[in-house]
Amino acid sequence: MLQLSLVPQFNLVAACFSLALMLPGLGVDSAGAQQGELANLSVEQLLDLTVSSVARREETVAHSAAAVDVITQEHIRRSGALNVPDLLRLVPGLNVAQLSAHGWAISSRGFNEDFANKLLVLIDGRSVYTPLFSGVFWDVQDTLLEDIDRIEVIRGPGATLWGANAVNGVINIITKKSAETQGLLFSGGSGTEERAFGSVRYGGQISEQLHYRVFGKWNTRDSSALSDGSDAHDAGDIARGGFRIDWNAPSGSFVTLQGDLYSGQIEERTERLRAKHPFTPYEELGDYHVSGGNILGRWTHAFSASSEFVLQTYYDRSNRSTALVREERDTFDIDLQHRLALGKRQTLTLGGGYRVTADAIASTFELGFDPASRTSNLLSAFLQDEITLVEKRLTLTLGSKFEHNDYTGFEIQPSARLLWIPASRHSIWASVARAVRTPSRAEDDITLRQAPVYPQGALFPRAGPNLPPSPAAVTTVFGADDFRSEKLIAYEAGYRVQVSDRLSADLALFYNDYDELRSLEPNDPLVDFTQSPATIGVTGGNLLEGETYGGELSLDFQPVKWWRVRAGYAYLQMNLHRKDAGQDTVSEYGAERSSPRNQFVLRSFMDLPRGFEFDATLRYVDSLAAIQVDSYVALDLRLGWQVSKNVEVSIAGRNLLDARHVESRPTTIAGRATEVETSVFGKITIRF
Amino acid sequence: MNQPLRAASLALAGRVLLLGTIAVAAGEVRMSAQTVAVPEYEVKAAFLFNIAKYSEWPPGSHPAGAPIIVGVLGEDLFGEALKRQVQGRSVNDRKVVIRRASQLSDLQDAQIIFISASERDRAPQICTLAESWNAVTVGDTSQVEPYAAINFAVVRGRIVFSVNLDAATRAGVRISSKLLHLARSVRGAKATGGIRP
Repeated sequence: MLQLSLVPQFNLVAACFSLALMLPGLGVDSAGAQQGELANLSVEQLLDLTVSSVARREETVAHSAAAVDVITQEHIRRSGALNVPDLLRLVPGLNVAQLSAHGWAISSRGFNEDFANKLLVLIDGRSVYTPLFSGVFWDVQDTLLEDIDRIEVIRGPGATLWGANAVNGVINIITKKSAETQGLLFSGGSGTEERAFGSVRYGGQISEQLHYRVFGKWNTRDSSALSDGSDAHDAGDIARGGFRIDWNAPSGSFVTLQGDLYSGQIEERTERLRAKHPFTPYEELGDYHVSGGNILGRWTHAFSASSEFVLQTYYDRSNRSTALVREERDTFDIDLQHRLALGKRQTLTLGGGYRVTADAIASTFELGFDPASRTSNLLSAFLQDEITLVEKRLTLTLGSKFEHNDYTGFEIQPSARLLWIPASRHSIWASVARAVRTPSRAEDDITLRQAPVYPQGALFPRAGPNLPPSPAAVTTVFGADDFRSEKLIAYEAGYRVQVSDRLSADLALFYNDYDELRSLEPNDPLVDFTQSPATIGVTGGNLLEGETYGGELSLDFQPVKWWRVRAGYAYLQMNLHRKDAGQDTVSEYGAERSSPRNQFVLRSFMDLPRGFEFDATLRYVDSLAAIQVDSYVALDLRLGWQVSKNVEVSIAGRNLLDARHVESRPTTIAGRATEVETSVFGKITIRF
Repeated sequence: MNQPLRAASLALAGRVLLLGTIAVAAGEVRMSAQTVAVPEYEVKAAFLFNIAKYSEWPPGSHPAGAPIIVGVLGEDLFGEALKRQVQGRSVNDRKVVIRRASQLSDLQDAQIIFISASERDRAPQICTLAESWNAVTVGDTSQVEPYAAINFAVVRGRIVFSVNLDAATRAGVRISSKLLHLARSVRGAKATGGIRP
């Protein structure tokens, strides 16, 4: 009995002894730190201390009154993703569905489709959202992933700052300053889908204050598969190159000049329609070409510690030449922003901008734009005031954007956001914001002709008992000059908490009230026999409205120093309704059931001994009833090894749980669905 | 990817996950013995005090005998750590005081400015302005390192710091050789020259 009771005591003594051994000669423990004894230690002793870090979320996230998520460079490196859309899959609340080897449907909080149109995307402050269809051509949005500082994703409206079209979300891709990308970097590899890819970057300095980098990147991607496993004919090659120069002028100015050029050739399979009687459909195999470039200058100047202005201007050119349409677009943009502190409690940001975009579109029988070339102007101004109501505790941000565009005239997009920090590890926010999506060129000017019998998934009215089956009639979608902006009033709230040093949570809830959403209204009469070919016509209208609600929950958990887990869950409910005069039941159902109701993502990052890293991502995406897409679970794994200070090798597998699966289907323009295949690749990164 | 290859990769993945779980369980035991690790920002606070101790500001830049003001710009991750480690201590008979600010204009008389990660995008301008009033800029992320005089990082569970002598020189501040010797890296035109005694 006596012996038994002694054992635990001995263990206790041993434990204390071993604890003391771990801090040789310091005599420091947590209690000591609390009492402020650390400052008595020498610098050498401080350098020798093992520290415990709080496993927290990105700094910019904690104190913003919006649903923000940040993909850091570390997340990018460990994702095993080789393109931007695959990175965005990691953000709860975004839905990323691959349409083809080079095409993606990406949206935030619903309304996903092949031409999704409620998300604004910026790369280093340059909008990559195309006015052609109010969406993003994801096939050409890329940069050197290693030089991305972070990707900020805002779910919910950001229109007060970013303007029209930042309706359901804003994605900001921010690259590093040149001073942070010095030296030579080579990264490249090969795999089953990403057949070959390589990047080279060199960063140098001209003087202490003047840094630059140049980079080149190339990749060739294999085709995806059709449902029978055959080649989907969508393989392609894209090459790009760019530079960035940063001048940190002693006067308090920071000047950036950067530019990109890209060119690519990608296979395409197009459902076409003969332009002559009997207007029979046929499939055409070919290639489409994309090319473009941009140059951007940004001048940031601090007049004083309380006043700073930013002048940014860019020119962007893009060309896209496909079987159905050839588009050339030139965009020039200039923006001015001034931020100043008004006393101790207010920070005022005001700005103005002008954008002009001019296009030239060569049409085909199937897809026409009238007029063939159009120039649009956008004038904007904004004002935002950040008011500290209670020091360190309560902040109110009020602001509005005022815009004038050539389609709908004036648009006002105000917002109010409140951030309350009741205690250091908690923050609560709420907001109300209005945002609009202004008409796209297509919505105003399009004539889209398609065969009346559609493949599965087509959004347009199908041939049925009411419609003449005659191949001599084609379904035609007409743009409408009186198409109005889609409007949103969004109510959001969120709570972030650092539960412990190892666990943090972020919850965002939203209720979105939409009005004047796009619908396709049948013409009267529906079938017009006076035209050749006879036309079953539908015209764009604004006769849908509706509500969406839901939320996103993310957790960051670090059970041990070398293992970190992130989990995210997103729920979405969409209820759309036809207005009294509306007849478009197809869009109503289509929009409601083309975005997943439930999505789940679980990521694990493990730091193993000897410089090894093992990372896994498990994703669940709910079914999409309107386009016959089943729910799926995907697993991505990555094993990385830091061979030396300069060399890192990794092997990654993506979509490992099934041979292939469908994620989305084309709905706007008829086409065949392709399936995403399992892939594996190896990669090496060398830095000097 | 063909079926057998996929099956094999799945089996491998399963095995790695299992090993991972075991390793985690083992790690939990090992980690429990290491709970004496000191909170990161407690140590960084102590470092800030040492920066005050080992920096020499140009004569006349600040009133003699006036306190040394350590400013924290942006999100404050220190909590009470600065109060415990720095507040009330003295360096050469000058009291060291802490001031938190969300705007740089509130730190125009600070001698040391800690730039929180939340301010990293504006680091070049912040550093340029801070140098104009002879402040030592201290960064907390790699994004701030090119611009700040001193920058912290956590490497293998320990705090390290780098020194940018150009930035210190522009601010007119002399950083003691004591710190330079212990820095993980010392950059700047004069890093190999005479300033390192």
